Amino acid sequence: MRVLRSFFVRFAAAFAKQRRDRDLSDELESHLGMHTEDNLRRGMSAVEARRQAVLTLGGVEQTKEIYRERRGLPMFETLLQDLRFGARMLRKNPGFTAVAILTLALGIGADTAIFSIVNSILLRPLQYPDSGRLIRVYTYTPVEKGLDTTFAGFLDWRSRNGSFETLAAAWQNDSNLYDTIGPEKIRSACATADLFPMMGVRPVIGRLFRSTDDRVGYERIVLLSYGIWQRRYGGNPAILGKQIQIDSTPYQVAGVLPRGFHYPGQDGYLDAHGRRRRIPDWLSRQSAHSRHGSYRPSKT
Amino acid sequence: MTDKKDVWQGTLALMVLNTLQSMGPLHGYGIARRIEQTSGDLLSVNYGTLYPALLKLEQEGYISSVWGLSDNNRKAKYYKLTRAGRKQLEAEAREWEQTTEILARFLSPEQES
Repeated sequence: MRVLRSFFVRFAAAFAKQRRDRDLSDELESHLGMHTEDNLRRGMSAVEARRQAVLTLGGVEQTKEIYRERRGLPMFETLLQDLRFGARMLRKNPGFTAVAILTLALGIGADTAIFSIVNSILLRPLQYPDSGRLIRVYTYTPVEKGLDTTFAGFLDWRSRNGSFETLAAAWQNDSNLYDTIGPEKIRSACATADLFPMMGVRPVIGRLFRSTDDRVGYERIVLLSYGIWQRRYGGNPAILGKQIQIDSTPYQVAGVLPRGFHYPGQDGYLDAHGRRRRIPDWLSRQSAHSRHGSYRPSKT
Repeated sequence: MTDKKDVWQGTLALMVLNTLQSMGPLHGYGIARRIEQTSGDLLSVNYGTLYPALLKLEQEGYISSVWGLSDNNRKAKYYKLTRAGRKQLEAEAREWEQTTEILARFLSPEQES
């Protein structure tokens, strides 16, 4: 690796130039001295002997010039010079420097911020299969636009659905989780059974909701997010089938949702928690503002 | 005055290595004179180009240099062949022999068997 070796040597030569220059001057001077002596011995005059020696060398400064080009990395050295010059100019004009740095800082900051938003919203599609066909349905009234519907309204929509392949509902709130470890406040969401198949989600362990779970008389079950499963239960699969209390109501853990599954609309920092209540709960909460989202239209 | 040939591109390094091999440690001026003598004064070494060539060889690790005193008690930088330089000299010499041999065959085709 001779090329690499000389590259490093030449790179190093870009520094401590004065010492190297002196070295070269000494060497050339010694060369000229020896040559001059030889010329004198051949019978030249002192002046002529020296002149001939310099001539044969091809000029002292010219020789130094080609020598320097080989010694270092000329392009790199020019770059260093430019940098040094730039730094000096910046130091000389502090006002200009401040404005330039501020402009750059603001520009970079704004770019980063905008890109972060654009990237998460526009560039990176939702991580659901066929996410382009997922839509969210709202109620429009003459008075207000974009209202969430009630659960009774959702049931109505679903029974008369002719436009969508699947209609599912979900609804978020904060809950209190209580189990043998202790209490914890979590972000939870209620969902109808078809929400997860619609989004192409498969459980890491256990199962998802079944449509029968929506009916009265079945046991209340809950799905854990991957995050809370890891953090609170150490990723232990034995949690399946265990009872935990959510808002003072016992639920059985039926499954764990895959890593990275976040219900859209949840604030992003979440312990996304797919939690499920049976229909009667939902119906009883009709008066509360409940939210139903993520519908998939049919291909027509 | 006879028309002396300039040193061909790329051959100067080989000559330098060879000179150091046969003469032992030597300063730049000595190398230049020695090359001229060896060539029977047919070659004129442009002394100015010798130093960058020496530098290149040193950067590549084929020779090393150290300051010393000449016979006339003059301070001079002495160059000396390294182990890598010896190997390089062998390799390059072999290559040149091959090249000249091939060229010779072209130039005197009647000797072909």
